[in-house]
Amino acid sequence: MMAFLDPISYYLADKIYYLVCTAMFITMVGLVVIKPSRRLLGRIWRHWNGRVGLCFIAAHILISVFGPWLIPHDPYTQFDLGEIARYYPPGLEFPLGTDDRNRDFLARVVSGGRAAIAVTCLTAILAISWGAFAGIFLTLMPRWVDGVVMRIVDALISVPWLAFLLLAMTLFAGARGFSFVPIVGFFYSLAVLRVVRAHATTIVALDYVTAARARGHRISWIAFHEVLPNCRDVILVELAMRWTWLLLAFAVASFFGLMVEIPAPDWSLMIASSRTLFLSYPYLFWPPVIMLSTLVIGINFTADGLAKAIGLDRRAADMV
Amino acid sequence: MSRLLSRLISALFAAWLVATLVFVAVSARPGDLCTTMLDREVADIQKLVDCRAIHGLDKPFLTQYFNWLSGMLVGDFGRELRDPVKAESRRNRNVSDVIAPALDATLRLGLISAMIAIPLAMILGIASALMRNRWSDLAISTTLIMFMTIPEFAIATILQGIFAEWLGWTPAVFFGSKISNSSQFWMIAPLPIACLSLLMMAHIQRLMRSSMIDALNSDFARTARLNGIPRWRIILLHCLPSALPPTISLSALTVGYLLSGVTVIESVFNYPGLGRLLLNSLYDQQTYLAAAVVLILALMYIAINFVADVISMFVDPRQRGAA
Amino acid sequence: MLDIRELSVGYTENISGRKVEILSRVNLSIAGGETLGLVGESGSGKSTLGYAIAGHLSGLEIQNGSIDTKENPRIALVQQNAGQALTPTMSIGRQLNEVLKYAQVKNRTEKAFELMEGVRLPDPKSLMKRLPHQLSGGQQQRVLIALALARNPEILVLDEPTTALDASTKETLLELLAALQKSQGFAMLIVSHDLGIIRTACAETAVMYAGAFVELGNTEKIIKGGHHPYTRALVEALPHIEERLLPNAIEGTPPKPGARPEGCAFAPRCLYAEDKCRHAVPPLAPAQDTKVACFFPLVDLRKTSTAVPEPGEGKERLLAVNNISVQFKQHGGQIFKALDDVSISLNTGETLGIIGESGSGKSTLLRCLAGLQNYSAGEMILEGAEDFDRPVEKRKRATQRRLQMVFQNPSTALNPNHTIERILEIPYALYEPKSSRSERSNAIRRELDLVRLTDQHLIKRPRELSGGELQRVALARGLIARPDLLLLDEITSALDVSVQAAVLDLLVKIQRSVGCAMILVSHDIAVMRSISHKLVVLKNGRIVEAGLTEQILSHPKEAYTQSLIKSAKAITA
Repeated sequence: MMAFLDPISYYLADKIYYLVCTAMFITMVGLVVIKPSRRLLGRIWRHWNGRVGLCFIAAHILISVFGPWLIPHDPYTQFDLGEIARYYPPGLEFPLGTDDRNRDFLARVVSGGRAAIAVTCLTAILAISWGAFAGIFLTLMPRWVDGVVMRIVDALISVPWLAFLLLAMTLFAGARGFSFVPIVGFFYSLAVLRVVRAHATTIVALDYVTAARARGHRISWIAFHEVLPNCRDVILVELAMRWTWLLLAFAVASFFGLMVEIPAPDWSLMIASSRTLFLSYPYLFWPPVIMLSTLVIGINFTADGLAKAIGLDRRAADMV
Repeated sequence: MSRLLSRLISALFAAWLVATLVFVAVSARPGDLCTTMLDREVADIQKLVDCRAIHGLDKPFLTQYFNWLSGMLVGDFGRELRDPVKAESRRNRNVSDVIAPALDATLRLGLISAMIAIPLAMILGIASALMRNRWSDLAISTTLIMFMTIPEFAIATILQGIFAEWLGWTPAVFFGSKISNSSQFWMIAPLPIACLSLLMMAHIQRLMRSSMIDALNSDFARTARLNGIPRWRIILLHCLPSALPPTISLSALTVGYLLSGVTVIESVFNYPGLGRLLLNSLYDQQTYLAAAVVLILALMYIAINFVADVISMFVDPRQRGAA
Repeated sequence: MLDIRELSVGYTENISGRKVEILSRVNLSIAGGETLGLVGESGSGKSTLGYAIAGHLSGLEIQNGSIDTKENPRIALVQQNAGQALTPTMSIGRQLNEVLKYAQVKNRTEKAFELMEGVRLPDPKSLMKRLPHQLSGGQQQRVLIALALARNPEILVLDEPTTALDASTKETLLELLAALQKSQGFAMLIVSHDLGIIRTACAETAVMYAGAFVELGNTEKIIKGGHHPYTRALVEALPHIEERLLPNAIEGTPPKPGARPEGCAFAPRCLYAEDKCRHAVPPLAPAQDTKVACFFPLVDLRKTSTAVPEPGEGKERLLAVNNISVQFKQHGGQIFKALDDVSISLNTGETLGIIGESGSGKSTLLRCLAGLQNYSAGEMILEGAEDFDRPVEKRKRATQRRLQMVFQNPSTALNPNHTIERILEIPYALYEPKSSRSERSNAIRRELDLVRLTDQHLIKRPRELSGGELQRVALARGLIARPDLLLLDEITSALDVSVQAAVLDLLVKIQRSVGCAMILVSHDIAVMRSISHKLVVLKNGRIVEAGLTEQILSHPKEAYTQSLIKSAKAITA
């Protein structure tokens, strides 16, 4: 359609992706090395879905970090293979075959999550920080402020995000793929706000918050020192869960051609373009589906395991 | 009763806010709709003035806003934006005339999926709560989660590949602009219904499972057990009424996500519902049409949540607030 | 009728596969028509035994021994927390009818009315149509008993039947149970932490400690002259209602299941323990008039309670509250007066007790003083502070400092994410923003010392501490500000009696060394008698009687105060 990630944005997305990947790699190593977090990891590992999730995530991180070194081809190069104009079947040279322009499909699959991961990571962080901030402060505000804001939130949450994204992207001709970040981030932050607020309400009712108020602390001090630390677990799980839904949301937007410009590799675009070839060239359909789903399942299950490990009721934190 | 009223008021407030939001989004774009539509031709001032007159863009901003709101109340969403010169064949139709058949198609799709998916998911949820942490629970939950985490367009494609192209049971996509009779509907509908149901079931099953586990572990379930009430009665009459309301209201909240899913599924199957209409109107730069569809989707969400609240009030006598 | 032999109940740990005993080798028999009390502190396994008898183990396993029942008697159990134990979505009538249906009773409607009248519920006809949440706590408890009686049980097990109830409701409930037992002839097993109600209701009592019986016998004999050191200590830890004496605390904490010592479980806390106690488990054997599980049962009677000093002469006025009222708008738009024209006054270094049943407005009064609650009329004066009548956030730091509050439940009053050091540092840093690091740590250590905790507690977090230790930390947090007035909201009611005794003792010592005034809110007259100098009796937001504690408790003028004291005495050991 009319809005793409233009090349500069894709370059940016690529950089962010590397940042995210490096951060996740370091976090992964850190989680294993540092003792308390290793204990947490062990607790996640104890639940079967945590185990599956951690395995998938680790596999994805390893593939994205080491994949480009091991694969000889570049995702953009179009190979001239003589009489076979396109859809070269899987073989030694091209383990997953080639696509409609004879690009190495394996290389494209390996790097096909970059834009998605970069953009959704930014969005998730935006949604969580804003939603958690507002959710916590609302519980400490006078009741009428809370009432008014929640009415507005309830109303806004009823806007279907995809429809609104589509509308915004066509209305504002300058909108590009990155406008996904503020728009979808905003709508998802409403759900985060509700979940965090629901949890913070139970915290604020506890005596230690009353004690802090009776001592004379300011509201902002109470929010950061008494309430926030006790919402940390909820926020962490929210972050992971929202990220999985955002990955799916990005996939949908990308499927409609809203996110990434055609030559750039992206799982959803690959699925979209090989959709009609599903039966004749299954090797062009399944790999991106599997990559996308394993990443989503990986994060989702890890979040589930995390929630179980810290004894959280995940129900309220569902997709809302 | 006062509870019902307050829910109704907040639903109406939500509707008003969404309508305003959509209106602001539509008006906030640079230039007005007529300049965008006509800009490719050499500016014909008279044409522009005519166009603005048709769509009421010559009036002051607030008047436009009130026209939009009052139009919404009577189901009048303005007229299609179509350049009369370029599209001779089709005159500017009323947006509501375009939307009505699409809304009908989407509602049919949604209601039938809901009638299949909700009871099924609730039964599965209760079943896995009763067999919690045994292999059958794991099997049910994992399968449904798989359907939740695979993007809906991939599921739709797979179903399409298997049932339409390989087995040839149904047509893969719908040809035409609207469904004229029910046999046509039943030809195309099974796959979209299946997709939408799968999308819905995972959430409801998860919610049902955890609320049911809470209810089964509660003190009152234990009292019933201690007093010799048989197990089936405890499950159906003691636990279910407490477990249902949270499931219903939380499921209704996930509908927002489903509405996006509907858009995807309709576009994959070329199903002539609101989702496809939205996409087409965006491709055609039919801003009013698109805005109206967004608004209607949002209103559907608000209505569903209101209905869910009313249902929970009937299931759980505590929420009726009567003394 | 019921015979339990060498019963051990416990669970198997998930990972290690280790077997953990909650009940260890319990022997018990109950005959028809008998009433047995099971008394013990939290974690003693008394509820587990009750549930095991009712055949409801919920995840636990019988590891040893057996429960023999002759001729398969009908056993009914009444759970605690009646509010949560009734199905919230079903009317009372339907719940009763359902139980009767499965008990195969013929004339169900008649029988239901009979049961409702039997438990003395007023106006059964309209109650039948109501939902559980529309009933009061006492009514819910009665409905729960009616449900249990519907199956015409031969043994009725009651788990903490009175915890959520006010003293007067408690008394009538116990009377009701006695009457029901007389007319229906069932055997009764009452599980409770409250020696008072056990004394009122049960002829026989078993004292439990760490999952085992330590003493079993006639209730009067056990309370007047128990032979097991734990029984004796438990009785001495109760506050006295007749005399102004401080109860004695038991040092240490009971062992957790899985961490119980070899030998006698009470040995580490026992004043009389010898080597033998630490290596062998004493069997429950007859000793004089009761059965005791101790190698060295106590014979002589000992009483070493300390009297509480009265405040000295020449105290200055500290606080005056004149005619304040607090109103809440209720859901229907009616106005509810939580406090109505209440006046109190307090001198420096004094302790004022505020007593009343739930809903009397006693906590609202404290919230007013703390500046957390707006009041509609009246005035509050704290000597030397002009801004005391404002809400807390508008008071000056110096005024905020002069008033500190301690809460009922220490496990929710301390932030679980902070270490004890941080919990104590926060108020000090707030009131002494310019203090250096060493000043802060000195202050923290000084307060810890005052509440008799040690440096090793500093790095711990609240969940690693016991209830008594937590309440000491909460006290230290209040004291570190060196307040003039300490507001204590039911601070001992969430604690076991032995811990309560220690906290009361601590309060008296703190007042002596720091000299701050205290306002203590409680529903327990015995607690008031042991530490408060002045007393205010509140009912429905109004003051019924006020004056010196001794005077009010020995010569109450008002009928309400008299009835409060009477029902407290009736169920106090």
